Amino acid sequence: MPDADLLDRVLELIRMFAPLSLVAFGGGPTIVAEIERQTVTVHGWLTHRDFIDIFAISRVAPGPGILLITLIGWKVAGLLGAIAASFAFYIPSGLLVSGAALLWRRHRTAAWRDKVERGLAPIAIGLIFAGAYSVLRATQGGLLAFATAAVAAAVLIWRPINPFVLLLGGAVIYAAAFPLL
Amino acid sequence: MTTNEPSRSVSLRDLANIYFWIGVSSFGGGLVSWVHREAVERRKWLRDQEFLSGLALSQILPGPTMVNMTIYLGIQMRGAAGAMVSWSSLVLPPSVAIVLIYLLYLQVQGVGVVHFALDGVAATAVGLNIATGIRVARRSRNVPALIVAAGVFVAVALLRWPMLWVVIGAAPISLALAWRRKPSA
Repeated sequence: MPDADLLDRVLELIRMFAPLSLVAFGGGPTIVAEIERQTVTVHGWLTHRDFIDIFAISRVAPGPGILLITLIGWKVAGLLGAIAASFAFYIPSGLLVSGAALLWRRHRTAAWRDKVERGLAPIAIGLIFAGAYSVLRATQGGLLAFATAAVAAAVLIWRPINPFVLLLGGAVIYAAAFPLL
Repeated sequence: MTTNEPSRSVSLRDLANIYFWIGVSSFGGGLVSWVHREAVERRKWLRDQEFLSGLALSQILPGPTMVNMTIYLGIQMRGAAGAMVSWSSLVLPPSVAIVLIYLLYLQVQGVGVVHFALDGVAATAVGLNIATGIRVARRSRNVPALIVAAGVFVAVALLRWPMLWVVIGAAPISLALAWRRKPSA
């Protein structure tokens, strides 16, 4: 019954991404760890290899990095999966920001805004590093991957160069090192 | 500030045009600074303060900052229609593009070097995220906040607990800590 199976996977994608949408404080990088855990470990839809490739493609393709979700949906359940996963993720937080945009003007200078920002920042920091860790663990590179990430982070903190140039540099260096391994 | 007065004559076509180009020509992130240059500096659709409060809101709320920001500014400038037009112009064309790129990748994935190059991209991209994490951590430099950050990291990355429950558990603690601190900046 491929059809029933497909529908199951589409529903599971929606069940996974809709709640994630409402806790993605700090945006895309904060939910990478959870997406990896659910799609690779919990559901077994993707191998580590699939996950790394999809993550990397979403970084070099144009547009918001969050298109990772569209590709995961495509991989799991084709066109229907891509559409379902994307909208499940975009709609809940989209409605929230729409509502807030209408209310926001009345509370321009409210002190609680600053406190909410500062209260959520540590959670976002923890999640960003968790995402970094789960991607590095999934790459084949091992120590090389950790070293590459550390160098890229150091370069970017030192100089605000175009991230796309860094990403291409990473691809070229790895491709050049390939015959040596 | 007088040179920064918004003219407010923004058509839906203008919004579609701007967001289409931001979506398809933004490689490697940095979309927010693009929007600032187009909407505030060049076209003067918004004042700096409107832009910045929208950015703050987009960062506080869950969801991708850039997507939130697009919806927020769309509503400010042209209401619900503005939000829909801006959002779809930003997100839909790159969504189609990324699927096409993925289909292309499926044709060449048998070549070993492809996976290796993508490993390089992934490791570098992780470095970019780490740089963001470090920048944010520097700004909220106090011990309780860093303990919360470390706890979230351990729970999600090492213990592999579901993120939903970790955030629901950690948010009240972290917010309570922020409330007790005196505003510094």
